[in-house]
Amino acid sequence: MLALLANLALVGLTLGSMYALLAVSFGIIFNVTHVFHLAHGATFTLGGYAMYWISTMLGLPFVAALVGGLIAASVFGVLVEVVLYRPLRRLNSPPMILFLSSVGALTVIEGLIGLLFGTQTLTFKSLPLEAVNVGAVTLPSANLAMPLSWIVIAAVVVYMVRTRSGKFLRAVGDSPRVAMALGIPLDMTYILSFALGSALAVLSALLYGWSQGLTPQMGLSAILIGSAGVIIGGRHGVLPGAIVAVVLGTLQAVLVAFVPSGWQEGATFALLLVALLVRPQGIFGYSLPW
Amino acid sequence: MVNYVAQILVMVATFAILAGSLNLVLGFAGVFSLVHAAFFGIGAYTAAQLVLHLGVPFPLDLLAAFALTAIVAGALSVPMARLTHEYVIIGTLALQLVLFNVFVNWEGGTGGSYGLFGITRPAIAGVTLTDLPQYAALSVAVGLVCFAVLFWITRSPFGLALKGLREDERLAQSFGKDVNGQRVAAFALGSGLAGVAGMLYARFVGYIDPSSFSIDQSLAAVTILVVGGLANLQGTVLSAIVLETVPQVLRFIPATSNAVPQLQLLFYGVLLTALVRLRPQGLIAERPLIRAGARSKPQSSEAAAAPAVPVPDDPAEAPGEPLLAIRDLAKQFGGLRAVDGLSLTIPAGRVTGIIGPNGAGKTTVFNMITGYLQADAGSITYRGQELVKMPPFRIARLGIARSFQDVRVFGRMTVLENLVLAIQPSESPFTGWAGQAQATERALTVLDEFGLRDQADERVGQLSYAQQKLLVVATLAARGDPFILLDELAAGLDQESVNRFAGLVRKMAAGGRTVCLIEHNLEFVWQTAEIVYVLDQGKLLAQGTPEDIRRDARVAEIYFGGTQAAAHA
Repeated sequence: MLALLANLALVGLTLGSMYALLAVSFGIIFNVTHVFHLAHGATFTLGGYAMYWISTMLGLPFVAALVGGLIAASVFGVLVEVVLYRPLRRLNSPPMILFLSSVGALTVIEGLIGLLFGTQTLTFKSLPLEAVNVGAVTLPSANLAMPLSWIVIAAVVVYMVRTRSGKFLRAVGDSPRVAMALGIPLDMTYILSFALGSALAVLSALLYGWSQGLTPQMGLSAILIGSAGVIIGGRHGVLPGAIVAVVLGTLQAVLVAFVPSGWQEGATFALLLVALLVRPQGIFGYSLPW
Repeated sequence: MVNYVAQILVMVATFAILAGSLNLVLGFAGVFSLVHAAFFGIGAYTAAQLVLHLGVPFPLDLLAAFALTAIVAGALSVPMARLTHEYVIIGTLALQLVLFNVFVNWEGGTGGSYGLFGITRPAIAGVTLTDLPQYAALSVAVGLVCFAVLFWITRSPFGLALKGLREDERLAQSFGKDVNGQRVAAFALGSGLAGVAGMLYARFVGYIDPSSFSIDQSLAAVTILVVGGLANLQGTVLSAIVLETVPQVLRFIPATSNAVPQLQLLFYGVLLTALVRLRPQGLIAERPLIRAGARSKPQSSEAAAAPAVPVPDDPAEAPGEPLLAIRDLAKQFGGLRAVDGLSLTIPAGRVTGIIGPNGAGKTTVFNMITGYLQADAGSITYRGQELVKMPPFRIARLGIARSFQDVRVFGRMTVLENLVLAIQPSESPFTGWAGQAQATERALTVLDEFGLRDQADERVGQLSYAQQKLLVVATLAARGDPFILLDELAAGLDQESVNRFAGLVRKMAAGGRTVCLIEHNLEFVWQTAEIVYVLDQGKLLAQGTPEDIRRDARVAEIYFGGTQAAAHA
């Protein structure tokens, strides 16, 4: 039992790392632009399917697929910002209108991908699926790659804290008015946050698709965990969101030992709901770097 | 062809009910619910199980679907009522996924992912409605009943209250509205009607599985609602007709019949994104529930100069006796002691001023008196009753009215709606009508007195700042509460308005009401107040008559710094 739990915990921690990266990618957009960008789920799905198309259908090397996925997702994210959100922001639309626009974009992509690729689960043919022994426990290859998320997350935090454009992003997130008064180009900063956040979502889509396969609906439940991490973690920075997402991912995996199969997803979201009700102001204060 | 049209009619009726019930929850009450499809499902499964196992006849299955869904939704919404903004979206989305997971896995109740088969059509007067046109007639009839209920609820005083809590919950609480209770009631009723739609659906298709009750269905209901227009039931019907007919037509075109769900998603998504950009108010825009319109105006045009202020009936205290007593009150925010062991009393029938520099804790005290902030320690008693830990709406119902520093109004409601909501005595859709009619008459008179009659049907959000403040004062005057707390009423007003408001405040006190005001505009305080408290860093620095305070060197010090201050004051 203990060995099983240890194994599940390790699976969970790796899975959680993938969700953490997704939370960071969502957080970069949400904390900077304050749009509840549900269509980030569509970015996630789109990136996954773009990689599938290039690697499995066109048979190109996976590196090419990754580059293609990054480009497709970033372009989509920036398009959503420029074509949908920016005009609405100019009209002083309330947040709900931007959210509805986001729902529309998500729906369009889900429908489109279903039309083009069908609704069955697809897998990356060129990535290894076999499990690997790590000491006493066994992990699928995909899960072995998931901890790499933390390198990306660390790079993001360093970027946000150290570089000029990273500081612009944080300044705009704190107060667009003050940032604008200081001469920070608002439109460009928004575009940067969508491009960066969307690109990062592709990395988590790669890990997700590798371990669970791709479906047109994959974005919505994944983005729920990612965005809930950000919201429960609080608005200051992306690290709190990442930490909450790891906890949620780990819980989801460990629950396998305690709830009948099939019920884990429901149990995870029930726990998420409880966390939301118990701690609605965010868990973390201002002590983390970002 | 007849069957084809009948089938479309059934689907239109079903989804009109689904979107219409969501309109109550989202359009009126402002709760962004993404869990509506799950309640649609609960209604469908309830009806299916009752029909399959107990042979329950129509309309008992409908009533059971309604009741069970409403009870489940109501129970779930009690803990969720405290969520706001994005938390509501995340919370209801999570709940949708949890309930969907239950539908997929609970084989005893829902048949799991295989679903439930063999649900028969209902029988009416011994005739089973196997023909599509017959069932279509039933669906339309049920739809009409549901919409009659929705029209009745939303046109009633309760509908106005829902719009108010949607616009500004804190303001609604300050008028004594039990916003959490109202939200739970609206959520339960709206979800119950979604359950009715689920029953219609289950008995139409005869076979249900979880795929009909997924998050996509919630998003579809949101789309139908938003395209039709929020807080507008005619729009919902119109939108349901258009948006449900299109996928049904696609089903009959060979080229598209295989990919209807995907095409429907695509169509709804494009429509939604285009609509919020081009016509965010929806096909039919929201309209005011109450209109002044062409009602005859009272002739007294001079009344504007001297608004009448109603006298509260029978004040319990003689003027000067303590009405409100604060003892050892404390509130800390992080490391900051905003209020630090404060004790003071507010005498009845007088105007009390509370002054002090920014950050002295004045507004924090107001927020604790009115229940918007929880005191860390100390007590606040009003007429011998402890106010600490009482929710804001209960405090308001004791006769304590307040204004907010950031002028709060129900922005997308008209001036008249704002005032009527503030003074209507009951929110009941059954017994509140007469009270609302009287409130409307009275509101029109008050608007006339305050010179706002011509703006009665305008949205408050479009008024000038000064007019919005005037409306706030008119509302407080019209409500007739015995105790009024005014938070920086004079801020941002020109001298003429300041003088006018000072006159109104004096008149309120002369009529036996107790007024307590926070001000930075000292001139306003000297004009109105009889007792002045000075706060500094959460503590009482000085108290006395305006004359005392003007001569107090310590007060001058904190206001102007240095020694030249006394001359200034």
